Amino acid sequence: MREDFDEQIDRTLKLLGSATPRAGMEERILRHIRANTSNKATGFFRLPQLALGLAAAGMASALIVVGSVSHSRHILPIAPGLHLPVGVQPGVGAASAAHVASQPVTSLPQDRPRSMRKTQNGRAVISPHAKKPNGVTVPKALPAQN
Amino acid sequence: MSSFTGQIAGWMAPAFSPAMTVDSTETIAALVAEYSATLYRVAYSVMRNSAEAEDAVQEAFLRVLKHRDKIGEIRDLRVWLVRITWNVVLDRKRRSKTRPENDDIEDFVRVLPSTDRRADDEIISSQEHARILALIDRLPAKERQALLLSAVEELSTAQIAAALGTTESSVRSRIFRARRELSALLEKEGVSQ
Repeated sequence: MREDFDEQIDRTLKLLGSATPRAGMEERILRHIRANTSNKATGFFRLPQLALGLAAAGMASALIVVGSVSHSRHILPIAPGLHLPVGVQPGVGAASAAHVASQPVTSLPQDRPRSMRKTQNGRAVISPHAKKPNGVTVPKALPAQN
Repeated sequence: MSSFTGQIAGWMAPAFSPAMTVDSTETIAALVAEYSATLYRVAYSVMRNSAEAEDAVQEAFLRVLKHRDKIGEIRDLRVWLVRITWNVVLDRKRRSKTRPENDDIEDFVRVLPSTDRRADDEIISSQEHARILALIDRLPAKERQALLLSAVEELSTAQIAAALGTTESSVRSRIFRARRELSALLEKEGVSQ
C-alpha cells in the first residue's frame, strides 16, 4: 500500500515539475520589462522638471512677499499720534490693530497751528500783496478796535 | 539639509541613462531565455495556474530589473532567481489567502501524457492529482515547500537548500517527513488505486 502511495506522490510531483509554459512566454515577459523600463525613463525625466518648476515658483512667491513687505515699511512713516506700545512687535496687520496713544501728545513750543498767522480776531486776513486776478477788489482790513 | 541636497542630486543624476537601459535589458533578456522555464515550474508548483505562474515569473523579472546592479555580484544566478520567484509566489499566495481554489484542472489534463490513455482515464488521473495536491497543501509549511521545490527537476538539493535558506540535510529530512505525512494522509483519506 505504501508503495502505491509513493508512486502516486511521485507521479503527481513529476507532473507538477514538468509543467510547461504557454508558447511565447519569454516574449511576453520581455515586452513587459521593456515597457516598464521605458516608463521609468520617462518618469525620471519628468520628475526633475516638476521639482525645479515648483522650487522656482516658490522662490518667486517668497521674493514677491518679502519685497512687498519691505517696500511698504520704507515708504510709510508712522502716523503722528499713533504709537504702538512698547513690546509689541510691528508687522503686517489690520488697521484695527493700531493702538491710540494712552496719553495726549504735547507739541513743542516752536510748533504752531497751520492757520495762526492768517487769522486776526478769528477772521481770515488776505494779504494786500496777495496775487489776485485783475478787477477783483480786496476789502481793507478793519482797524483794530481799542 | 544634507539629505535634501542628496535628494536633489539624486534627481539630477541620470539614474536611467540610455546605455544602461539597453545593457540591463540585454542582460535580463539572457536571463529570461535561460531560466524562465525553470522559474515558471517553481511558480506553478505553488500557484497551480498557468496564467498566475506566468504573472509571478514576470513580477520576479521586474524585481530583477530593480536590482540589476547586483547581478554581477551573484554567484549562483539560478538560486538567486528561484529565491526571488519563490518570494513573489509566497507573497501572492498570502495575498490571495485562498488555497488551491484556483487549481487549473485543465492545465493538468494538458500536461498529462496523452499516449495510450483514454479521456476518462485522464480525467480520473487529473482528479487524483488534484486531491494529492490538496493534501500537499495541508502539510506544514516547511515540509510542503521543500517537497514542492523537489518536484522541479532542474533544482538540486543544494540549490533548494540555498533557496530556502537552510542546509541540505535539513531539506532531505523535510522531504522525507513530507512524503511520510502525505502517505499517512492518503491512507486516511482512502485515496488508493
